[in-house]
Parts: sequence; C-alpha cells; structure tokens
Amino acid sequence: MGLPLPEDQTIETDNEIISELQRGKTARFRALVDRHKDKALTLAMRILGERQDAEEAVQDAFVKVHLNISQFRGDSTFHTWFYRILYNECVSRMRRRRNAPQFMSTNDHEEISIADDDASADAQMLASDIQELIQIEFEKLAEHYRTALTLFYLQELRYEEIAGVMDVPVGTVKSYLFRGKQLLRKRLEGYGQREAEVA
Amino acid sequence: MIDQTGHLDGETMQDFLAGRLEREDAARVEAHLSSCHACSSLAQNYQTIERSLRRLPQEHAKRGFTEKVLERTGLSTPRLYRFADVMAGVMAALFVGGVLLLVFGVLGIIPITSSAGGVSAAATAWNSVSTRADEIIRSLPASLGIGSVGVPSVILAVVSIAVIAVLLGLDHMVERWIARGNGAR
Repeated sequence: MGLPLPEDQTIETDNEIISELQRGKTARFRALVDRHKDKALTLAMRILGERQDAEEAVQDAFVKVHLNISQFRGDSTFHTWFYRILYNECVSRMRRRRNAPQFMSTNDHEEISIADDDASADAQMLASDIQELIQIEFEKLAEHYRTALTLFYLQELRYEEIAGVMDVPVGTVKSYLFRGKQLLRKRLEGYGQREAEVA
Repeated sequence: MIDQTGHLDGETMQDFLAGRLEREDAARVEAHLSSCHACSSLAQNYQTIERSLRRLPQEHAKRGFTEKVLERTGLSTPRLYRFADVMAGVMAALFVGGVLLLVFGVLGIIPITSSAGGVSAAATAWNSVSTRADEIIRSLPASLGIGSVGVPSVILAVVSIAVIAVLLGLDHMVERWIARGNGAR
C-alpha cells in the first residue's frame, strides 16, 4: 500500500476512472470498488450494526453505481454521490427492519438511561477505558447521529459533503455532530457517576 | 459566545475545538477557559470524545468482496485470477484423491505395493523414491499406525497439501497485486 494521496489527487483519480467507465472501459469498475469498499463498509456497519447486512448494503450500492454511472455528472465528488446512494440503501434497510419483528430497538429515542439497561450496564462494567465506552455508547446513538459522526470523524467529509449525503441543511449537520457528542458526554458522565456510587 | 449562565455556549465551544473561530474570538475563548474550570473541563471532555471517535475501528471488506460485486454487475474477472481458482480446484481434487487412497490403504481395500520392474525411467525413479519412503515410514513407531499404509498415497497427500498451500499463497498475492494496481487504500 502506498502513502495516502492528497485529497485533490484522489478526487481527480476517481473522476478519471469514472470518465473511463463512461467511455465503456468497464474493467475500471474494479478500481472504484477496491478503493472505496472499506470506508463504505465502515459507514454501513456504523449505521446498520450487522456485518452481513452491511456487506449486502455496500454491494447493492456498488451495483447501483454501476447501473447509474452514466448519470454521474461530476457536480459533486464521487464519494459524496456514492455515500448518498449507500446511505439511502442503509436507511431503506433500516426501515424494512423496523417493519419486521424486532428483538432490539434501533434507538430512535435519544435519551437512554444507562441504569435502565441491564445488558448495557454489564457491557459497561467490562469496558476498561473510555475508548471502549465511547464505542459501546456510539452504537446506541440514533442513526442520524452515527452517520454524521462517522462521515465527519472517520471519513473526514466536510459539512457540505455530509449535508449532500444525508440530504439535510449544513446547519442540521452541525447540530447532529454537536448533539451526538453531547449525548456521548452525558452518557460518559452517567457512567462516571455510577462508578463513583459503586466506589 | 458567553451564555446567560456565564459559560461558553455549545456552538462556540465546538467551533473553538474545531479551530473554526477567528483569531480574536479564539483568544477570548482561551482567556475564558483559563479562568473557568467548568468550561475548561467540558472542553477537555469533548476533546477526549473527538479523539475516541477518530479512533473507532474501520471495517475491512473480506477477501473476495470485490469479486462478488463484479459478479453481480456482470463484469468479468481477470484470466490470471480465474486460472489460480481453477488450479486450486484441481489441486483440491488431487488432495481429496490422496486422502481417499490413504483411507483405502489403511482399510486394506486397495492393495498398495511398489511396482518393481517398471519399464520406464519415471517408473523406476518413482519405485526408488517409494521404496526409500517406505523404509522411513516403516521405521516409525508402530503405534502411529501408518507403517502399513501405502507410500504412494502418503506422498500424494503430502505433495497435494504443499501445492495447495503454495497456490493459495499465490492466489492471495495475485489478489493483492490486482488491488494495489487499482489504487486500493
């Protein structure tokens, strides 16, 4: 693996590949898949939480990209366009899942009391440091917070790009990011207070 | 910037941590943080959370993921890749054959003897190797239970395993080579 390319260079290369695809060089599609599959899978996993479901969502998204590659005009970057397709795929899968019989909530309720959740409490007792706690609590955030935080901190997209992916105003993206972190902070504080009470 | 409670408002705090404040505003925030323990503590908490968010584990697609996508889109795979798959299949079949011979040899279903007096040089060489290996195997403790097993089946099984291992390694290298050529990061 080489060194990471500067962002502009990466974007240019994506566009070059897409231009070749649009000219009929279909073999170049492999390059797009290889380049974006890991980050796409990370986003899908953060939204859906299940590996199998996430892999299928990413595959479906790539298939849609392939079918609609001629419609890509370059008005946005490829990854914004692709993540939007993937995000919509994940959201529609979550909707289908909601309609199916469930054994677990998808956490639309923002304020989840740590003390009310026995399984969560057990998991927290096992968590040895803040990193693990953050990971546990992150999974419990509502889908739009997880998506915004993943796109911003892991995929390093800009506010405007995230707004394009999620189809919301930039102000809403900022709000999601702030509110998501605020919820994590409150939950960590709640954990700290519980620890103090136990001690 | 400073809310009614005398502390930094949430938006200012986030903009400061993200380095998006103008220099003058940032200086005012820094001055406030140096004198306000509550806001300073809050800022540290948010910084810790942001660091942790950046360290959340990234997922990695399983081997063969790209092929699955390409299959679904109807795009063909490189010939070299297919060749490696076919060869792996052939060697797997040989391996199964070797194991079957081994089992049948143990059970005595197939009488396995070294065919002395072969007419070709290859047969003679094979007979020589076979006899030598037979001696080695027979010198092993009887408790291992392979002394009576035909040598050809043992050699075939061992060679098959080795070739499969080499091919799988080659197959993996080919996939990595293709992925690198495509600029996977």
